[in-house]
Amino acid sequence: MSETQEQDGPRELLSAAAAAARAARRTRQGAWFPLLLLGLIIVGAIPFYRLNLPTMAPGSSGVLVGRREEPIISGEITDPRADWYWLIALIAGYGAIALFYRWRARRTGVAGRIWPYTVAGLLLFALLLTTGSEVPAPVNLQRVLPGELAGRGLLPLITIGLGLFVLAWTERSLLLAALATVYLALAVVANLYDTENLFYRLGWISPWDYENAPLPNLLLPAVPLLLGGAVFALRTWRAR
Amino acid sequence: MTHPATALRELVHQRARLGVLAVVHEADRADFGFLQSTLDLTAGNLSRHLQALEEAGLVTLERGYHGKRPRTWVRITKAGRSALQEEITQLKALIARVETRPEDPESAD
Repeated sequence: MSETQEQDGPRELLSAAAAAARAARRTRQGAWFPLLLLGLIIVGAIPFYRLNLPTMAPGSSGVLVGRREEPIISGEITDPRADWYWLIALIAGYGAIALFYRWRARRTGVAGRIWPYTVAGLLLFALLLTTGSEVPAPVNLQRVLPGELAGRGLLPLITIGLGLFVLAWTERSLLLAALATVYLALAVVANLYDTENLFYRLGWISPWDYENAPLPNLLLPAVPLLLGGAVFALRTWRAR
Repeated sequence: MTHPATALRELVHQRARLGVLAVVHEADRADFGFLQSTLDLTAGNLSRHLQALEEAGLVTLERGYHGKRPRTWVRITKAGRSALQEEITQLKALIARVETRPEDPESAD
C-alpha cells in the first residue's frame, strides 16, 4: 500500500482491512506445536498402560497421593505411576506451549493470546484430580460419570480434548474445532471401550498381545493429533 | 436517517489506520515491523499514523528492546475496538446503500 492510496472506496477499505487481519491471524496461529506435543505426550503414556505389571496387584497404591487404595487417574488395572506421568507431562507440556507461543510472538512480531488455553488445560486436569476414589461423594467425578468412563484411567485424554476447543477459540480456527471434535469423540471411545476387541469382532488376529492390549486405546486419539499437527505445520510452512 | 458517510470517523477512515486497528484487533499485540511490512507503509508514515491513533486513545504503544534493538509493540484499546467496529458497520452500510440504490434513469439505455 503506497502513501498515495488513502482515498479508497468503502469496499476497498473493508477488503484491505480484512486482508490485514487475515495476515495477522495466519502469522499468530501456531496450533501445530500443541497438537504434535500432546500427541507425543499421549504416545509417551503407553508404557504405563501395559497390563500384568507387578504394580497392578490388588491393593496397590497410587503413588501420587501416597497410601491411597487406588490411584487417582490411572485406573484399576494399569500402572499407578501413570498418575505421576500425566501430572508432570501435562504441566510441562502446557508450560512448553506457553513458551513456544511467546518465542513465536517475538520472532514473527504478532502475539496471540495463549493463556486461556493453557489455564483451561491445567484447570481441567486439576478437576480430574478430584476423581480419586477417596474424594467425598459430592466432588467425586467417578461417581457421577456415565458408564465406566473413569475405569480405564484415560480421562486425561478427555481433558486434553476439551482444552483443544479453547485453543480453537483463541486461534479462531474452524478446522481446529473440527479436529478437536473428532479427537474428543475418539477419546470418549477410548475411555469406554477396549478397542482391541474390534479385531476379534471383525475376525482378525490382534497384533497386540495381552500385556499391550490397552495400546490401541492410546493410539486411537494420538494419531489424529499427530496427523493434525503435521497438517497444521505444513499449512504454516506453506503460508510463509 | 443519518447517511452512513456522515457517520464515518475521519480519524479511522483511512486505509492505513483501519489496517493497523484490524491487525491489532486480530492479535493480542503486533510489533512495528510486522505492521510496516503487512500494511506496506514507510516507517515514517506508520509512525505518524500510530501517533494519531495513540493520541486518540485507540491504541497503546509499548516501547522496549529485543536484544539491543528497540522494538515497539502496539495494542488495541477498548475505544479502539469500538471505533473499528463502528467504522466497519458504517462501511458495510455504505456499501449496502450503494448496492440497493435504484438505477439512475438518465444513465439507463
